[in-house]
Formats: sequence, C-alpha cells, structure tokens
Amino acid sequence: MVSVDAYILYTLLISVLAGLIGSLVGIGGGILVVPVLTLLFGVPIQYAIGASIVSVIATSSGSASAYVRDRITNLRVGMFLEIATTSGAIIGAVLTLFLVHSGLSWIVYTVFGIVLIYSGYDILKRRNKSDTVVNQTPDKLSNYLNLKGSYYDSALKKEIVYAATRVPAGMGIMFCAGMLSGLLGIGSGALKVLGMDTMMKLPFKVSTTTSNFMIGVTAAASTGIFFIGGYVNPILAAPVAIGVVIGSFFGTKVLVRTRPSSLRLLFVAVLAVLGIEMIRNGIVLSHALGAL
Amino acid sequence: MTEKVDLNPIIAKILRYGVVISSVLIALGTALLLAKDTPSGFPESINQVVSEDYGRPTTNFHELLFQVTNFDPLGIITLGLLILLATPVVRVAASVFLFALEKDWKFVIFTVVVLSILLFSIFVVGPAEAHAR
Repeated sequence: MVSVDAYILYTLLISVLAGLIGSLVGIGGGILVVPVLTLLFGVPIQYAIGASIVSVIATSSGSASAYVRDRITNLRVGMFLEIATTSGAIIGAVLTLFLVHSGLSWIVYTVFGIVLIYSGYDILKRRNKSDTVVNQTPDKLSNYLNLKGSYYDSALKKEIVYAATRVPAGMGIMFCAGMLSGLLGIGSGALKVLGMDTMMKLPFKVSTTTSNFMIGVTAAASTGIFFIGGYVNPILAAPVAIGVVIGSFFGTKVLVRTRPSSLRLLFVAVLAVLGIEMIRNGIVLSHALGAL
Repeated sequence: MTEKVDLNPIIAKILRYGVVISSVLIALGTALLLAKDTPSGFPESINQVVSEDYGRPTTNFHELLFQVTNFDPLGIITLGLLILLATPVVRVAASVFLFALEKDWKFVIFTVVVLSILLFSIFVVGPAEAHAR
C-alpha cells in the first residue's frame, strides 16, 4: 500500500530520471512510465497508459518547438503523415481499452515487453546518422504533395536538398506507429523515424525532428480518448507529466553533447529488465485466465 | 510566393506556451495537493485512488471552473492536463489558417482531415469509452 504523498514523490523522482536519461539516449522517457507504474505501484495498465501518454504530449511539444524554430522540421511532411498516425492512434487506444475490458490485458503487457526489449536492441545497434542515403529527386506523388525541402546542416556546412519517395509505404509504417502509440501510451518515435529515413529516404535529422513534431499530435488523438474516457487520473498523471518535462528539459538543454556509452548500456539493461518483467507479468495474467 | 507567411515561429510559439502554461498549472496543483490538509474521504493509498476512481476529471466546464477558482488542487491539475491536450489541437487548427494564408489548398484539406480526426477522438470516441465503463 503506497500512500498518495509517497506515490507523488517517488513517481516525480523516477519520471525526472526517465525524462533525463531518455532524452540523453534519444528515446522518449515515456516508455519507462507504464512499466514503473504497473510493476512498482500496481496501477492498472489502462491508467498507467493514460498517465504516460499525457507526458508524451508534453515532451514532444516542448522539444518540437525548438526544432521548428531551427527550420529542420518539415511541417508539410509532418502534417501529411499525421493523417496516418492519428487514425492509427485511435485504433490503438480503442484496442487497448477493449483488451483490458475483455480480461485480455496480458496481451497489452506482453506487447509492451516486446517493444521495451526491441527499443533496447535498437539503441545498441543504432547506426551512424550519416548512413541514410538521402533521396533528392521527387517522384510523382511526393512532387504532387510537395513533400520535399532543404535545410542547412551546420555540421556538414552545406544545404541539404531532399524529397520523399515511397510515400504510401511510409504512410503504412506511420499508421502502425500511431497504433502502437495509442495501444501502449508511448511516443513510438523510433518507428516514425524508421518510416521517414529508411522508407521515404528523408535525411536523418529531418526524420528525427519531424517525428518529434508528430508525436504530440499523434498522442493527442489517443489522449482525447483516455482523458474523456476517464483513464487520465490527475493524481496519477501529474507527477509523471512534471517529472518527464523537467528531466527532458535538462537532458536536452544542459547536457546536450554528453552521450556516454556506459549510460546507454545502463539504459538498455533497464529496458531489458523491465521488458522481461512485463512479459512475465503478461504470462502470469494469461495463466490466471486459464485457471478460471 | 511573394506573400509567403512564415509558419514556423507561430507554431513554435503555440507549442512552447501550451507546454509552459500547462506544466505550471500541473506543478501548482501538485504542490497544493501535497501542502493542503487533505479533505475527509481523501484516499489513504494509491490503490484506493484507483478503486474509487478518486479525482476523476470532470467533463463539465462550469464544474471545472468552480474547482479552479476555489483552488481545488485536482481541478487545477485537470485544467493543466486539458491545456496540454489542447496544445496539439490548437497547433493543427492554426496550421489550417496558416496554409490557407499561403493559398496551399491541398494542405488546408490535409490539415482539416487531421483536425477532424482529433476532434472525432475527443468528442465521439472518448465519450463512447466513458459510456462503456
């Protein structure tokens, strides 16, 4: 039994850490919130997701504002792909609530565990940013939709011109990313970046900043459902929102150029442990179901 | 392209102010919650918060206004959460006008579609889920 005061203080502290480490490693801290709230404090997963998704809006909108000013974010690419991510987010949120109400929350736990472990793997093998082959000539569709642009790369000291390709496939990935975001209450930025840089051949920097820009709107679609549905409890959600905002603020502003690999390894280890625990919890819940 | 409007600073401002205002409200509400004497019937534990659905946000605007003007901690947090939720929606709504100013009608349509999806989730799917509980 955790008292309300203790919950607020502990969750605030953990969320600051999650936001800080998350932004240092380049992954939203929100992914740690649901496992911590469910495994540590016994919060039902639908309420944990409701608390987490709110913090996802906060971190995305906060950091996106900086990049939009820098003009690296491609607003048109973002707005267009948001059609897919927001539709996916609605399906994901409805699916999660359906599973929980049908006594199938073990599926949500298990999927969450798999995503945690995969995120750790993704951090480990993350390739060089310059690896992406940037497409420069627009195809018919990206020309029609005006999904192209250029930005000044301060590291390379030159203007990078780019245009999207394979837009329908990119939309498909974005729909999945939105669905995962609504299903688990996470930003699913890694999948959005994959859709833009690997599938649509946009520059890595444009992909990451535009992904960040889209995460907030995507999360708003599922937050609307969780909030109005009554799954965003102010007591549960408040310390998470403040903590993650404070943590990621310091992560991006103060420590912008420190990315020690030991910190990355620690984070990967945390993701792996939480992932295994979530899957274990899922298996326990599914067995409890079978025993009935 | 002679009368090109610069979208970026306006959108950046909406995002920044939305997050700052909501964060301040949520922090203020939380501080009040910790500092104030707890009212009778306040949950002893986090399990009780969940089982009683304590502090479930009101969807009645007048009730929320009453709570906030009375410095009710949970009402202030709820207002902050609502502003946070509204921030991306306002950003998308502003984009509709900004694309219209640029006379980029294709993107006016795309943005209206995104806005409709967001409003659909808040005003149709959300209430349906609340009803289904």
